[in-house]
Amino acid sequence: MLNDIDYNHIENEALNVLDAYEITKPVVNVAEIAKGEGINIKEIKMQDQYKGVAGFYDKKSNTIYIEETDAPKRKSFTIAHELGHIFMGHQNATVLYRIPRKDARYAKEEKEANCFAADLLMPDFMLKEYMEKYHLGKSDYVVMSDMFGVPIPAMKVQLEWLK
Amino acid sequence: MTDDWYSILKGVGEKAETMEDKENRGILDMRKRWSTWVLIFIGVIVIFDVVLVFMYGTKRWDFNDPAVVIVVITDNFLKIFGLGFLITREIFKKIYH
Repeated sequence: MLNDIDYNHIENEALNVLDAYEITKPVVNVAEIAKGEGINIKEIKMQDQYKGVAGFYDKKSNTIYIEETDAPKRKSFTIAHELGHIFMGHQNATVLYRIPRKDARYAKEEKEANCFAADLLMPDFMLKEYMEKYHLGKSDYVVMSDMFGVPIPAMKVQLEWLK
Repeated sequence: MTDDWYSILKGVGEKAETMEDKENRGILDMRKRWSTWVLIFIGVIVIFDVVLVFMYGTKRWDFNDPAVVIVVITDNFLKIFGLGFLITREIFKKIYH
């Protein structure tokens, strides 16, 4: 259920991470955050049976695997998503997959991880600062997606939700 | 490998910021340049109205239909209003939205 998700808690978790790593400007370096948490990142070619999987976190090896052929923006979002699972303490699976929205029945944990990724890469305070600085509006999501290094649809949604 | 894609993202981000900065400076320069001319143009319209009313009032100009003066003044008022609206809402949209 959508209402079960505590968006404020997720936003605070993401802000705490940004604060801990003293990140105040985009592009948020999620690889550095992962590194700081002792998590490895590996780029691999997903096997055919996992086609459509953007990445996954393997608890055993403490490694986030991402699809090597993905665009940089997608790789960044995938890592942020997997970090979301880790920081939110999701324990339901040892391997947590990030599957594109159209292919998945989004479970609560997936929504939470996506929400965390969005708040980590595009926190409200940063969006507002950049909109003010460059005189941009909510309709400028394309250029904002470049500034923040995130996929265009993600930026569009985040701006729609901007308070 | 990770550094590669992050460098790409960083590069694209910085480029986007530079472009936006340039565009904003361009708009500000344009605003400075055009604001003087717009002010002059509005001044000319206002002076024209004053002269028209004065000449008509002192009967130096005689119109057969007095409605002409009202129409001209209304037309000029709408021009001033339209000009202001266009400038603030359209030409300098990005700065004022």
